[in-house]
Amino acid sequence: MTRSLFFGHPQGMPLLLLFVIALVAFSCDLEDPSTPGLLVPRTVDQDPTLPSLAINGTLLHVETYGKPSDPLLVLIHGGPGGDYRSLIPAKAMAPEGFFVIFYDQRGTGLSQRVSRSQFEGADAIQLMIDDLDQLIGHFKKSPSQKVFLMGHSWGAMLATAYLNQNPQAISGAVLAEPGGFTWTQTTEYLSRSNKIKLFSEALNDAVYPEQIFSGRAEHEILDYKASFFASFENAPGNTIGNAGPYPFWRNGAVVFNALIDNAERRGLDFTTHLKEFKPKVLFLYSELNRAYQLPWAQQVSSPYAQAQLEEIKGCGHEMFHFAWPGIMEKSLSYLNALK
Amino acid sequence: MKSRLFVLVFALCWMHSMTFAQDLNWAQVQKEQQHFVAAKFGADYATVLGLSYGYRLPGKNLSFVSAELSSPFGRDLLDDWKLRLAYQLRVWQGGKLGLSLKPGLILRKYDSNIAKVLNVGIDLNTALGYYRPKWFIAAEAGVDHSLASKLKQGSLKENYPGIYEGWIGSTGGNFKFGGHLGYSFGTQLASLRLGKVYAQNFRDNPTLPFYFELTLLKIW
Repeated sequence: MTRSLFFGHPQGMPLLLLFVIALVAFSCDLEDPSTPGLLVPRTVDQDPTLPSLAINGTLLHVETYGKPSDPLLVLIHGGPGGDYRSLIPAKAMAPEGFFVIFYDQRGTGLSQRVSRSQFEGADAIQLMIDDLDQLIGHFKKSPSQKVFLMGHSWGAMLATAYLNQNPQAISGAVLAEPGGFTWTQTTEYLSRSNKIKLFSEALNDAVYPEQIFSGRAEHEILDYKASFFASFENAPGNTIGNAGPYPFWRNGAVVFNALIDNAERRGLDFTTHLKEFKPKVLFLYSELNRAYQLPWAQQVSSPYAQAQLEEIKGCGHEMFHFAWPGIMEKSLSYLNALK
Repeated sequence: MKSRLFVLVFALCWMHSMTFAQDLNWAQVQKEQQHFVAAKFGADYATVLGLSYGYRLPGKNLSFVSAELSSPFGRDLLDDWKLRLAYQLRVWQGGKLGLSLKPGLILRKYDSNIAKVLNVGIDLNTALGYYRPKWFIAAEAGVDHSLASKLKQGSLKENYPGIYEGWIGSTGGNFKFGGHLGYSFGTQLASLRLGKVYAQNFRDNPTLPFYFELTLLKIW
């Protein structure tokens, strides 16, 4: 009888207890999911073979291509919390006469992990602007060497934040689908681009594992868990037109959550001095991102004194990975005119 | 170590209480009734459908063992699921008040192009309620702890060929706090459960931070 197996038998409860303890003992002998390198790649402070640069009190994952004396082209990745792996096709700009600089932003990608507290203060975005400023300062060889920015998504927002503060320092910028330059604008875009269908496979693929990975605060576990959540934007039928997954090193979960929380609390506005940036910017939007399109590109780019809007055909938001040739063609034409 | 301590406390609580349950209206259960089945719809980290079967155990205390299977909605049916084997028991009764416990063993599977995860966990739910033959209302709390998971990586392996595949230890757990309302009619029970979900550190909480469950149960 069932009851006699466990509950009715005088030793039923101890047997159950032994069973549970055996399970626990088994689980204690297993690999700890927070072990560096186990579920997400090691970062520059954990793997000295990775190219790195100490900047502004942190260690960043940095790679460069081309002649250091050529005009600088700094690639700024999306997220926040993403990395530059999907932007790598842009190294093709090096043979075209640019010194191409890739970096994983503070606490993201293969850059050193940092404490969440760094992104909780009023100066969180300023910290990222300062990182970019010091990165440019590190590679700029002479005052006459021109500097160009090329940012994607959040990276285009960060590029704009930099231009808003340093309008004289940059000779031109390629901005690919920044969500918005104010927090109101950004939330409006996010509400369209992350439209949730409650009964979809995409939603349960993104959130169902949260019952398994839950409440362990080690960054390695949070980054691994974030991979599931991030799959939402690439699922079949996604609003932003991505053809599928794109390559990345790790999702910087702590940076992403902390910066979003910070913006929700304090807001952001990168447009206050943008008119002082006189050169034309090249503003790219993708054909298949249903949440962006021309009217939104016109609205977002309007604080710039001059913006050249161009549609990248046959791709969605992740245009650097899925449609680099189209970006390169338009960017080269734009950058060569300013070089 | 924390995990070991947690489960030890869990197991001791289990032993020194005598279980109770939340699926049923205790005041509705008749002596001759031995089985129940229930169909559920709700939100449990995702939108889910579920079925459960319970069998009454003989003895002085009212108790059932049950098996519950639930699966989220979506294009790929049953690629993800949760199976819970539970023991539910009324531990204490004082007039129309009742206290119940429901410890369980959980087996979960998650499958997407990112990875496949098979997880083993344990949970313990408790409810303190006011039970009448026609209706009941109860406050409930629960804890769910992951013990071990087997990972088989999908697209993540393309990004990181060195990524680990195999068994890993505990990846955390969560708490649930909420309420449970039920209305009984004949041998049926319709109930609604609603509450908040927290991660075990009360910080990295789930994207869907609440749960709800509509249940239609038949007992015979």
